[in-house]
Amino acid sequence: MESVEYKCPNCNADLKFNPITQKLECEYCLSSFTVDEIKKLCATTENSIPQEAVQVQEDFANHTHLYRCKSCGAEIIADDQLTATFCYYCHNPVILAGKMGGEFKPDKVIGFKLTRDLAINCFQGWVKKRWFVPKDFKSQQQLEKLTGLYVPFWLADCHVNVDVRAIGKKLRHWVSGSYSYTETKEFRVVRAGTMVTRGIPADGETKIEDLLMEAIEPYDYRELKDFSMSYLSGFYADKYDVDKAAVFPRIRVRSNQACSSLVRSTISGYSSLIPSNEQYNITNTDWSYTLLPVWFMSYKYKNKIYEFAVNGQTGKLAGTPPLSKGRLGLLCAAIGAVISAAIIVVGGGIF
Amino acid sequence: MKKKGSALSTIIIIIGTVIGLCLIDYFCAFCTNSKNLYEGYSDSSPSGITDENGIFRDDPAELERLSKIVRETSAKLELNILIYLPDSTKKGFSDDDVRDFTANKYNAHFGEFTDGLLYYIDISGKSPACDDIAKSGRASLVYTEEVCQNIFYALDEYLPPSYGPVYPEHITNAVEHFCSLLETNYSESRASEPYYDATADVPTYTYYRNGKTYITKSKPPAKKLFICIVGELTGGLTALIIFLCTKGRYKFKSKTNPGIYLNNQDVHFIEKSDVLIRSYVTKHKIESSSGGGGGGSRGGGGGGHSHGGSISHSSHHR
Repeated sequence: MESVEYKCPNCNADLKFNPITQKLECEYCLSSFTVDEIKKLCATTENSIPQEAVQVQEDFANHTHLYRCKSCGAEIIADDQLTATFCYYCHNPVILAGKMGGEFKPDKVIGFKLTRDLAINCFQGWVKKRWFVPKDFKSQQQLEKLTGLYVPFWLADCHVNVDVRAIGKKLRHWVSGSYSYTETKEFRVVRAGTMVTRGIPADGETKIEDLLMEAIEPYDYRELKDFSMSYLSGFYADKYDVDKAAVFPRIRVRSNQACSSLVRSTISGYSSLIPSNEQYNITNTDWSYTLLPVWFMSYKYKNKIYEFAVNGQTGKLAGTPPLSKGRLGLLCAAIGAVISAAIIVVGGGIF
Repeated sequence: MKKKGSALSTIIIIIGTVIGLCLIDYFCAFCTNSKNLYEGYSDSSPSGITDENGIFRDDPAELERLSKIVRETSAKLELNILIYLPDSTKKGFSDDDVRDFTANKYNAHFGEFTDGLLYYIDISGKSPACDDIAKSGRASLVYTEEVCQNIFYALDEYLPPSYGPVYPEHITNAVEHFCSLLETNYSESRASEPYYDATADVPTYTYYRNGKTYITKSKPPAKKLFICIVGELTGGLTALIIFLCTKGRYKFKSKTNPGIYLNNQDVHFIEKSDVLIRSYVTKHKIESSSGGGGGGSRGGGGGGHSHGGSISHSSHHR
């Protein structure tokens, strides 16, 4: 007898039947579905497994080199024309570790639109406003570390069932004679329907800060192209080390935030709103493994790594600037000393 | 280990800064002074009695005798002394006017920053009469407020009440006893207490050190110390605020709003309703509040007065 294996429509992990809830549940992303729902969702797929498109992976495997950093463990992909010499996370030398497996071939890619010079201009414009960064942070040597990097992203289209119910109150006050009146009108507010959040990205690389990648969003997905090795030429790429099941909780939070924000924007005019039910259930998620362009730079200062990223498509920059506390301290001390001296001299504390 | 070292160096820097500031404060408060303006005492010739009222008009010999007593006391104490008998034009003077007048009169007669005093016996007809002793230099150290009040009380029995007639004998007795009281109340040791006149146009600080009198435009050391500490605290606080505000700008910012991933065409409401389920009106009586208001504030009394030079005052009403 052939066994039927149900996969989570959100993260592709195995679903298990929970006798208590009578639902099929995913242990990874905590999604749950009734048997009818899952049958409906998987009706078109063979053996109840959502069918991934068959891809030609040999070309990818044959034309990529995988480098490994012995210091931090990062794995860097470069095409066979480019040799990676240092790890752009920790700046230690990397060694050739072999060829890439075909399973890491991305579905889509957005090519670099921002040239290196433009990325440097963006960075210089950003750093110009920050007076108290260490001097060598602005140096040419540091700018040379700016690396064009394709970061692996999971893009998720989440189909969300929304069911929001609340009691809204409208108040009206007036005074008549020696009495104050308050009229309260209570409304039953219902917002139910379906929404699709499209292309919420989550980076599949543990070494890059999730918040840093979120900060350089959004990318213009109209420029998404089918992956081709030619895009890698002259740039580095990362292979994902976080699968979609692991990034799904992040995706779900952001998807729910987007839906909640939109639903809230449709409810207005109430003095107060008391929610009785607020559910955002993701019923299905379509995934796309995509490489997105990032100009990346890291800077080591006082044993701390500071990471900077420039969106390789839009030029949006994000990062935590290193602060030279000594320089800032000196300036503050000088200002404090001038103010103190002025008060002492004007106030007659001296002579 | 590294953290411990860093904390230790921070503590050392803080302690060093505090010690440095203490030294600066000490230097500012106790080792800095402006120029000594002290003029001292030259001779007794300008001392005497100014009888503007003309009470000794008929007896100039008596006036001369009294003036001689005043000059002798002046020479003995090495202090300028002037006794001033005002006429009725000073009748309309307020107490502050009297103080300003005596101070200016003293400066005009003996010069600023000299040692001496002017005794203003109010026989102008003002009621209540306001006697005043304007003191300058060493006199303001020796004849403190307490000493002057004792002198005033002692002279009360010789001077006429403000509403009564004034006879030359009153003044004669008062001048003789005043000179005698100046001598008996003179004490060099009292001069060690410094005196700060904050009411003058240019406040002065008078003190006696190592056998020398000083009159400077500096503030007393305690005041200077206070100003230094206030200045340092203000500067320190400003520096700290700037440091923290700037440090705050070096934090990671900006997070993309996930709302951009939801387009309106991907939103399909099956139900979108706002249904009125109930309506009710509540009323409550408005409590009438009584009273309220409360008295407004009244402006404080008259302002102080100011005068030039390093003159201090002791006043007394008869």
